[in-house]
Amino acid sequence: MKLRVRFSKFGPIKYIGHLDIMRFVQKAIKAADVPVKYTEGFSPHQVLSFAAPLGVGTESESEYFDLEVVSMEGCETFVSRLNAQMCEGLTILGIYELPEHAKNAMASVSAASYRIKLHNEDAKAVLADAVRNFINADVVLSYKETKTGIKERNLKEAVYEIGTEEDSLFFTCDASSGGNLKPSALLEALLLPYQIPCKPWDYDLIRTEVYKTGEKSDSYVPLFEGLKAVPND
Amino acid sequence: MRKLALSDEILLQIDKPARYIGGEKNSVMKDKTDIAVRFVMCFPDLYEIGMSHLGIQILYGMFNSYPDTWCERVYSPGMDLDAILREKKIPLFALESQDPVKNFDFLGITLQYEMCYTNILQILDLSGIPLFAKDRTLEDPIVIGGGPCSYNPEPIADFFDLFYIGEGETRYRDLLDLYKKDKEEGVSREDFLHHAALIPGIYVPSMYHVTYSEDGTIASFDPIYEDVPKTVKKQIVEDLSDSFYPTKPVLPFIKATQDRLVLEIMRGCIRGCRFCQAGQLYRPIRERSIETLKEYARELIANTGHEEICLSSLSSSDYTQLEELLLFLIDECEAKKINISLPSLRIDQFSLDVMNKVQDVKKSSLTFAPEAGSQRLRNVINKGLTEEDILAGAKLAFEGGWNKVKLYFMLGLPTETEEDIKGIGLLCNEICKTYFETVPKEKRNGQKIQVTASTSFFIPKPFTAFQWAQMNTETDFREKAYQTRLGIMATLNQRSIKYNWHDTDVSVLEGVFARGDRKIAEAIQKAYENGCVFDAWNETFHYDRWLNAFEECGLSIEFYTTRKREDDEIFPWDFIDIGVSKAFLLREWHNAIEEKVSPNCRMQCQGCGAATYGVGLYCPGKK
Repeated sequence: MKLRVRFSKFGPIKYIGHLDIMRFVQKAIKAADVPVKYTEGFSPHQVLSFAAPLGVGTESESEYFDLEVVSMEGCETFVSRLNAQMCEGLTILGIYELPEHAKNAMASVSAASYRIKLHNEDAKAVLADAVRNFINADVVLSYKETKTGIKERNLKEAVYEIGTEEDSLFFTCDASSGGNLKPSALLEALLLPYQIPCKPWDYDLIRTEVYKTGEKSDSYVPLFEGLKAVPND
Repeated sequence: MRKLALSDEILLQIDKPARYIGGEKNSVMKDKTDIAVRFVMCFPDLYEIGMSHLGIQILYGMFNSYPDTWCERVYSPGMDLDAILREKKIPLFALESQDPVKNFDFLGITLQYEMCYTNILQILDLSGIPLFAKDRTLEDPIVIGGGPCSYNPEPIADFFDLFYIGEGETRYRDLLDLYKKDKEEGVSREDFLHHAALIPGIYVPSMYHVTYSEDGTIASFDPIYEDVPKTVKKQIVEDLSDSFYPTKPVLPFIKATQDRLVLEIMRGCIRGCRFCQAGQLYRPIRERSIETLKEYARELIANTGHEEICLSSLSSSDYTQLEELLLFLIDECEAKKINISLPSLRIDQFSLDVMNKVQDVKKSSLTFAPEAGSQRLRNVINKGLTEEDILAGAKLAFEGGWNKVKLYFMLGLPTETEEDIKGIGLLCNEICKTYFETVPKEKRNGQKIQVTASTSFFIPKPFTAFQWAQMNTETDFREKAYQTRLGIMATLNQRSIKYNWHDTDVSVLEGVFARGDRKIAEAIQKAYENGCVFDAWNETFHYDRWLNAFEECGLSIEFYTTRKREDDEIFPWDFIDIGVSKAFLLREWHNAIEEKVSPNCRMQCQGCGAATYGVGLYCPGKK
């Protein structure tokens, strides 16, 4: 039986990287006594798959991992048992049943939405203007250094929705394994015409949701949509 | 949410920010307005090293079980953060509350190895606490040291207000109560220290006066007040099954060096190896009951969800109920998919069977610690492991499918000759021979025997029979490592033998600190000011700076290392009473020179003196 777990990550724990969060979650599952399935062999490990790695320094309202269990006995207490094993800043929001042949969390991811709250005064002053220009432009290029030279990308194709509210920027973008857009790349491109440097500590970065492709190929819905929630006492 | 001491700007630019944010599972938060004593416990090395240490977890858990006390943690910041803290004048902080260390009542520093001494100064310096105890005021925390190196605290005595001599579970409550009372009564720092010196096991360096003879050795070592005891007696836990055990250890987010649950099964060791300090310091031998251990194992697993557990003791094979314990763990851990990491057990059929069950034979290796290459020298050091034992163990293991063997030796042991060094290569060769004789070619499956021999340099330590021994010079050490290599190269199976050896420079300094006196503090301070810190790490160790520091202070390294010590010399650590008597150690020193073996505690009591505690498993007159 496959399950999809949704959780949030806030506060100092944003400095814990993806691999360490995975190790933490593995211990929590074991301590919570959730009947997780293990692989065979000398060093058995839990059948576990995380949706999309979250960069160090990023908080999130909605993260996912899938796990396989050998039994659903006592499943109504999975959420509370796991929450009892979490640390400051990590909260299990819900658990959903995953159909047997569903793609795993990582392969399902198509898009993600983010909120960036700016601290830098210069950046705040031009934010609304920058986003207006972005919306009106046909092409917005971002440049990324790779092993084979500088790679160009048209961000208009990677950003699906964008908007502002006060000092914050909201957007939804490509997060698929082949085309994941780093939020900082968009912010850099937005501020480039104004020559305003913006370092990672000049803003708070929060991932607000992770999406899979919806029924129509150009639509996207949260990773838990359409899944049956495991009842939570 | 807690507010962090470091800004996002700093945390996003330093290596492993997770070291500095606290908030780990099972870390303890308290409301500081309800707290009478704030204690910060320090392991003076990087977080990953410090978080692997059981002792701090014990004291952390014990202090936090007191409603009036909040214990937090601090570790050495990495050099990247060190520079930022200095540049931005940010005081060093504790992980839990993120409050400056300077605001605490106590700063406890565990002394696990000599090469951490400059890191102590780094901690004090970055905290804004005066380096020397004499310069501190009521505004500063009481700085207290403990752990193995506190059994010769003299080289760092000037930096500490107090040392706790012995096992921490026993006397801390008395100390905290005294502190609360004296604080309430507005007692001066000096008077508090005087009162503390009256608590058994508490050593207050400033309450003792040392004089030296013309030759530089100690002439007298006396308390400055009449009521302060002349000797400080090591404190021990009488019943290990009834002492605090941290079954909810703090779980680091990032991988600690030893990332596993630890089950401490006993303290002390019955084998009186004459070079071994721990073997004497932790006497008498005391076991934790098997029922208690089973209960702790279950709780540890439930409270952490850890994937690995290991046993801890000086010689786990000597635990009287090892078989039952291991069978229990194998059972419990198999069901829960937990790895058991085995300590170095004596190789016999049982231990091989156990190893076979819990690890992949193809990947694991066997470990022997003969320590010396010849039987003669093994008799000198009283290591009761014979060549026959090793070869018989190896044969069993080869039959069981193992083909990797690790061997540990020491170079520079007292009375060592060229023959002893040659013996290292010969023993390795014999092991290879045993393999070829035991495993026929068709059963080798293309595998080869791999023997790895490692040598470290012998450093005489206080409270051992070898505390009188002359340490080798660096030149001797280098020559001996070279001879060892030649010896191995000259054997028939040299292609199957790999040889590793340690650095000589660090060993020399460790030798100085191990048997050093109060005069050394000045050199440690100089070295720190000249940029020495993280001396235990190869890439940050600067031997030349150390040599300069000793020269500037007019101190001779040879005085502490290679000098011949007379039988009746007063040692800097003689004021500490560990139970084991100096007379016993001297007897053992003479036995060593005469190549006489002494039986272990289980075979026959040698009257070492540790029976005075009345609780040793094999001690006569046990309670």
